[in-house]
Parts: sequence; C-alpha cells; structure tokens
Amino acid sequence: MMFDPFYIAFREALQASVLLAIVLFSAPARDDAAARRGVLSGFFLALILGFAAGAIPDLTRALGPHETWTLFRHISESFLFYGSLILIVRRPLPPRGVTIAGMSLLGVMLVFFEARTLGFIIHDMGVVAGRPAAAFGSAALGIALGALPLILLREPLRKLPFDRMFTSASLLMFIGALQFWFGGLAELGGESIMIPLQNGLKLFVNEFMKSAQSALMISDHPFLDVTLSGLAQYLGSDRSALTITVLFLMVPPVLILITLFARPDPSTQDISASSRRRRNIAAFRQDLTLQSAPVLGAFLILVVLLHAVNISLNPLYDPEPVPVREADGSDVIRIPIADKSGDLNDKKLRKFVYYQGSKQVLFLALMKPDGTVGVALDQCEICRPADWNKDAKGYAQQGENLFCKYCVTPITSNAVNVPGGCNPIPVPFNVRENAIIINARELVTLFDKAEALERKGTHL
Amino acid sequence: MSPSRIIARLGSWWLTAFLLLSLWAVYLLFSFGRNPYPAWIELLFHAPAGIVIYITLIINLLAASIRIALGRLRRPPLSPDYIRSLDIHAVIPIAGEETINETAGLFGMTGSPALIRQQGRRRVTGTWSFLPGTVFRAGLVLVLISLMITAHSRRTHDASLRAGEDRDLLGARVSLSAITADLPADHLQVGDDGTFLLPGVSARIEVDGKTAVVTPGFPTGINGRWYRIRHLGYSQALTVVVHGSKNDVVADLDLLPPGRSSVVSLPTGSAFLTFTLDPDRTITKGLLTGRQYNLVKPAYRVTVQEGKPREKADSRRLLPGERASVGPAQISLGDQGLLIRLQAVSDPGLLPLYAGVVIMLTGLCALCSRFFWYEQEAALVVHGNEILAGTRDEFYKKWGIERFQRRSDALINRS
Repeated sequence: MMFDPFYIAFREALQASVLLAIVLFSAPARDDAAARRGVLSGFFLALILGFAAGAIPDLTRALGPHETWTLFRHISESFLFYGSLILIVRRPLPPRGVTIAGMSLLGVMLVFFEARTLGFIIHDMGVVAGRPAAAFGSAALGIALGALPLILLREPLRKLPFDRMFTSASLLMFIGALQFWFGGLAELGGESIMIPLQNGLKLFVNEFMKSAQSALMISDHPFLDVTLSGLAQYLGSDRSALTITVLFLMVPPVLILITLFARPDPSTQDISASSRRRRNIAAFRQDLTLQSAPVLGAFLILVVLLHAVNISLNPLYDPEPVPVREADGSDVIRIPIADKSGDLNDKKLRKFVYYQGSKQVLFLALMKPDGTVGVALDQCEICRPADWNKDAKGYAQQGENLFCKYCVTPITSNAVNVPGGCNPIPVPFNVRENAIIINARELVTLFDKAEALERKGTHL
Repeated sequence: MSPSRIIARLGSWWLTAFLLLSLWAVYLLFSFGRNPYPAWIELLFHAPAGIVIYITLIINLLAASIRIALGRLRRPPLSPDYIRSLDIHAVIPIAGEETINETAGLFGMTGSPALIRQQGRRRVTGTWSFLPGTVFRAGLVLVLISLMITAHSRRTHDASLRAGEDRDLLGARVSLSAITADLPADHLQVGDDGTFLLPGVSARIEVDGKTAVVTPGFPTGINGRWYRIRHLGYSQALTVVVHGSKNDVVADLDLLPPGRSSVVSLPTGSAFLTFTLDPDRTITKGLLTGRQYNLVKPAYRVTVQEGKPREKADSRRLLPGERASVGPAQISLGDQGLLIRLQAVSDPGLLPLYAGVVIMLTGLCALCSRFFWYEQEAALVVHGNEILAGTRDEFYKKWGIERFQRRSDALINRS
C-alpha cells in the first residue's frame, strides 16, 4: 500500500468530517431536513467535482494554475469568516429558499478546494511512483477511514448541544476560522491565508504611508530632519501591519462576543414560581456559556495561527556557511551579489567560510534595508560563548534584524559594517561589477586580530 | 422616490461596505502584478471605473452624514406604534393621575398629567453625539476631494539653488538669500553611513517680493505655491586646468552624509574629478575606527581621472581656498557654500488636504467620547387607560433594557 496518499487522504477526510459534523449538527441543518439535504448535496457534489478537477490532468490544465485556485480558496475562506458579519448586522433570517441555497453553497465551500488539491496530489504521487491505481486505491481507503468516525459517532454527536452552541453568525465564523487552519495542503506548499494577508497588508501600509507623506509634501529624507517622519515610519512599519492584521482577524469574533453578551437577561417578573424564574435565568446563562465556546475556540485558533505565521514569516534564519576561496591567480574573494545560488537583494543573511590552513574564517554578507551591502565577520567584539556552547556563536537573522545568538541582542541590519558594540566586526570590501570583492589577506588579518583580542580577554 | 429615501439609499453603510470591498477586490486583482499599489492608485485617480467608485464613496459618506443628522434631529411624532418600535416598552395601567406623574418622574420627565395625556412625553439625551462621527467623515470627505484635486492638478518642480541665486520656478521668480544648517564642526562618523541626522536646516527665500523661510518639514505657502527643502549639499567654486585648458566650475557636491562621493565633469576635456569628504582625524580604538569631519568647513579628497585604461588615479586632500596639482590637473578651490534642492509645488488641493487631515484627526479623537456620549431616548404616551412607555439606547442596550425592566416592573407592581 502507498502510505503517503493514504495518510494525506485520511487527514483531509478527517478535517472535512469535522467541518461537516459541525454544520450538520447545528441549526438550521440539525432540525431541517431540506437544509441538511442542501449541505450534503453541496458537499458530495463539490467532493466529486473538486477531486475530478484535480485528478484529471486535462481538466486541471484547463481550469488554470494552482495559484489561482489558492486565491479562490482564500476568497472562499474569507467569505465564510467575514460573512458572519452580515448575519450579525442583518438579524432577520433570510427566506427559506435562500437559507437552503446558502447551506448548499456552504457544503460546496467546505470541501471543494481541498478535494481539488487532494485529487491533484494523489494523481501526482501515483504518476511519480508509476502506480496511479494504487495511489487512488490508498487514497480511497484513507477517505473512507477518515469519514468513519463521523459515520460511527453520528448518534453521540447528535446529542452534543451544537444547536445551542452555534448561532448562524458564530457557525460561519467558526467554520471560516477552521478553514484558515485546515486550508491548503502542506505537501503542495499550501500556504495559510495569514501569510498573503499579512504580506499584502505590510506592502499596502508601507506604500500608503509613503504616498501619504508625498501627498502632504513631507517625504522622508536620509539625513534631513523631516517633520513627523518618525511617526510615519512607525505607522508604515511591519509592526503596524501586524496590528492591522490582528484587528482585521479579530473583528468577527469580537463582534459576535459583544452581540452575545449584550443580550439582556430574560425578564422573569411575570413568572410567579421562583424555581421557574431561576431555571430561566440558569438556562440563559448556560446558553451564553455554550455560545461563547465557539467564539473563544476561534480566538484560540486565530491566535495560534497568527503566532505560527509570524514565526514562519520571521523565523530565526541561520544559513549554513558556503565555502569560498580566492579567484584563480588573485588574492581576492569574489562573491556575486546575484547568481544561480541566490540574490542578496532578497535581504536575507548569507554566511561564508574561508579556509586558510587551520584557520576557519566565518563571515556574513547581506543587503541592508538602505540598499547597500554589508560584510562582516560572524562574530562580535564583545561576547563569545564558551567552547562547549559553539552553536551560540555568531549571528542569525529575524526580519530585518540580526540577532547575536549568544546574548540575543537584536542588531539592526543597517549596523552591519558599523564597528563597535554588539555589531559584527566589519570586513573591508568593495563592490565591483555586481560582486563583493574581499581581500583574502585583509580578511585573515582581521580574523587574527579578533582572535588575538579574544585570547587577551580584552573587550572593547 | 422622496429625497429622504434617496439620501437613505445613497448614505447606506451597505453601500459603503460594497464600495470598500470593490476597492479591496481591485487591489487583490492588481496584487497578481508586480507593483499593485501604484497600479491601484492609478486606477483610483485616473481610470473612469476607479473615479466612479471614488466619487460614489464621497457621495456615500456625505449622504450618510446627512442621513444620520436628519435621523437625530427630526424625530417621528409620538404614537403607540413608535413606542412599540423602541428597544423595550411596557404597558402600565393607569390607576390615577399619580401613575402618570410617577411614570414620567421615573424617566426624568416633567409636565402636567393633562399635557402628558394629550401629547405624550419624550426625553432624549445625547442628541448631538453624532457630531464626532460627522466631523470625522467631513474630514475624510475633504481629504478624498483634495487628493483627487492633487492627483489631477499638482505640478512639481525641483531646482538646486545656492545663496544669492534666483530662478524661475513654476512661473514665479524665486531668489534664495541665505541657507542655514546646524552642521557640526566635529562630526564623528563610525562606519560608512552612521546615524547622521541634520537638524536646523532652513533657507530664506523671496518669491515675487514676499520673503519666507523654508525647511525640510512642512511646506511653506507663498502666493499659492508651496516650497520645501528636499536636499542639502555643498557648492564649491573651482578652477581646473587640465592639459592647458582652463575650466571654471561651480560644482554641486552631494557629499552628505560623509562617505558619499560626487563626480564633477569638466566642460572641456575628458578628465573628471571625484570629491569625497576627508576626515580631519581618524580615531582607532581596538577594532573601532571613527572618522571626525568638520562639516562647517569641509576638507575634500579630490581624485582626478581621465578614464584611461589602467589609469592610476591621483588624489589629494584639499581645503576651500587651496590650490594644488592632482595628477594631470591644476586645481584651485574657491569659495565653498551650501546649496539646497528646493521643491516648488503648485497644488490647489494641498491646503484643503491639510485641513481635511486636521479635521479628520479631530473627529477621530472626539470619537473616543462616544463610549460615554450616546443617544438615550425615553418616551411615553397615554393610550386609553394605559401608559405605553419605552426606551431606546444607542449603545449598551442590554443595560438600558434591564434598567427599564426594573423601573417598569416596580411601577406595574405598584399600580
């Protein structure tokens, strides 16, 4: 049996089962057979069509590239998540026909995009392994096993108070949040909506502030003191973009929570029996607790996703050093700014190692935010970890900053080539013909000086 | 369709949401390309579809403000149906005139029972609480209109000016009488660029007889045009003799922050000069190297090159007023001064844009008061032998309803 297609199909089927269970056992599908039929017909139709759209190569080609479908998936997830706002604002329920059509559409949105990517990857794995039938067979088994818990547990699930837990708005919002979590296949590099959302907002906020400054005739200057430039830089920074992303994501859950808690307690004045009065109030409070649960669950999912995305957007980046040597017949090390192995313009840290005899000179290079190149030894003048802690030696990158791995001091990338303090020790270099030129002798001399300082135990 | 209905449709928040979503969708579409933001701005201000969305948004915001103000200031007459449409209402049987008095008193109303029987009573607080939002929207509308004007009518011109020079900029004669800058005489530069921030830069200019000071900060308005310093550099008079040909040049040197270099081409011959600021001192401490510059009276390192293959360029440190041979050239430096790059802008939208931003920010700050300042309405009418009393709260409805329930329950029990 092919394990990967089985595992992926099982996982996706399990996720789809969770979503389907929540929708089926909540109002209105729980008590309305037509709405239930609507959800199920939409779900199974989308499952078949989506799977076919991914698994049949001609159809896949005809329906456009994967990126387009990723965008459609993101739009669908956003539509579910933010659609809850419409249900909060527009209290009266839509006509029954619209409700049933909406439930069918919801069924489609639960599974279509996942089924398409699943079909695509299963077909791909089958072709690569040369056993397409086995891949599809494994996947079918995975889907069946993934759906089994829903089939077996439907009776106990029916007893869960989903109908009391979910309002129509919180149902959509919770499904949307789960889709943010489940969406995409990691095996296809399926990215969470959070990444394009945050990157897009970053770009937008940054460009917006620049154009606002330009419109107000107070554009930034590299060294002249421009009014409000500090504020503009702060507002246009990545931090503001992250804040906007958080606000953007938290609007639906916060509004739903406010709506829930803004409901007045039930009037019990006209109920004579005090036991009934207490029962009414207790039921109201229990409903409130139950209805808060999905909102808090969505909060949790979003916070975890935001955290995970920010770690993935800003991981501690510590590349392996690439060995370099002098160009033939010269004593200079030539490092192209852009070549097949990468482009410094991506502002990512690059590490290099130069060997001379028993010496191993580690140095780093990066394109600084101001567009100039920085080259420095991968060590500072101040602190150095003990021999048993060599992994903490040098620098790693997070966002636009370097971090000393030993003392965890953040250092702005602009400070590379600026000597002193926690900054990495600058290496003299030139940029010629789109390449960094470093004199190997100077590099080794600088390394020797730094080592001598360390041996003396002198810190600057 | 009645005018108020038209305003209600045009000023609907649904329309606002639709327009904003359209703008978002367009941006999303452009994000498939390389530079979504400039393309989006171009569409918004210059493409018919974008302009339609933009103008509709302006109309929508204006109509929304009118709708909200009218809704607050023109209230429907009191009637039993109106009371029933409030957040909560109660029917209180009238036991006597004192019931009317008690009910009115409970909601903070006064008036004779006969008058209340005849006309009903209403008490509204926070009627004007719509003002912060209206001020914010007014500022936003002004900003949007100004930006459209700016996008279509802004003309910009940049020119380098030295003290004593005058130039025609956007149809106005601009003469620069003085440049001031707090240039340090002992600037210590560590590394290539350091953290050089130059305060106190200003220039005195005269435009068509009016004198004003311009800075790199907010633009200065003179005769309907706006001026601002965009850059600062050195101006250096020099005489260069290369292979017998003499060149008198006033060079614009873009040398700040120290570490930058500036190339000066000569009018005759192929030679060219490269200027960089030369430090007065180099301070080394351990691996630290700092360079100290006198930026008030800077010393240059001047390199002369002719662009020949395998040429070994010669360079030399020179101070203003000095004369020396550098490679094939005889260089004599004359007076040194400052020069600015002056930006002149003709833009009828700039002043309203600033006004709009200020109004918008004022409204935004005032919006904080909305947490405490909101509309509360209590109303009652006498219908047959009953009082219909109800309340409506703009925000915090839960507590308003509970408050009403407590009061009305007490009244009902009493009566």
